[in-house]
Amino acid sequence: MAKRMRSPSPQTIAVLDVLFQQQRRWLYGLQIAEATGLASGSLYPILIRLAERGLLESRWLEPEREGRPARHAYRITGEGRAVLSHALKVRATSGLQEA
Amino acid sequence: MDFANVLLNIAGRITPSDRRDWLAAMKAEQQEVRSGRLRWAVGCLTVALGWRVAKDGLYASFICASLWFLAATPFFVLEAQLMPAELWDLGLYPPLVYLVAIGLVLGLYRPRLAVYASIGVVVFYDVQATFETYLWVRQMPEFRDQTLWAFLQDLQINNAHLLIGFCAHLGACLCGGLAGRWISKQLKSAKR
Repeated sequence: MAKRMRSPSPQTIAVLDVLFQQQRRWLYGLQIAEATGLASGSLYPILIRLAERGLLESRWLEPEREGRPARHAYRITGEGRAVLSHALKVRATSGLQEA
Repeated sequence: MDFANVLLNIAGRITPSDRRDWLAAMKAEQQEVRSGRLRWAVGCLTVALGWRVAKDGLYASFICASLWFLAATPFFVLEAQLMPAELWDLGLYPPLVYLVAIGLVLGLYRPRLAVYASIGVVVFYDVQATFETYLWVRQMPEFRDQTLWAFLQDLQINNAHLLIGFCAHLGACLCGGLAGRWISKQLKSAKR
């Protein structure tokens, strides 16, 4: 069971959303950074937190080109999808209330 | 080696061991970055600094608090309340007792750094206290022209020669630090 989580920040939701859009693929940190517009200093603390809470899984993938190091890749988990879905619902509801 | 790599090397040095994998992940991505390599490296360094502060912030705060306590506490108040006169006669001056206690906590908290931290605390404390006393003495009209060197030749720490007083401080803090390290090791082996 995932640890109880405060309502995720917009940046965290953006990361989960990118992973959800490509949920069958393993995504690299750089791809997530490009898709969300987050800098490495903001992205990695989010990835670490999500991984520690079991909302995404990670693995090392062999390099595509010779001489390059293995790369860390990420994929959303079932719990991650549930948290994202809940966060999007909350956001939509609070958006409606403000309107 | 470009500046981005220098920053990544610094990040590697300050990253705690339990976060090494994540730094490796960031470093591997940096090799794939086409533009903005420096920005990526600055981000890595920021994250590594955050990890280090999270891990050692309390430790650093304790060292700062210790130095503040040693430098700013009015000893004449604490001496009268906490230290019986008999102990003074034995040479147990309050700073020695405080330094043993500070060393003990430093040794318990970070056993590997006990020696370095003890030396750092004592050197900082004695240099700061000496210089502060020198400035205070120079405010008196009769000592206005006294040089630092002449002041040091006359200076005593805990009624002993400057060097002996400094060694006593260092010994006290190191004793505390090594005792803390030993206790920490015993506690760890008892847990296993």
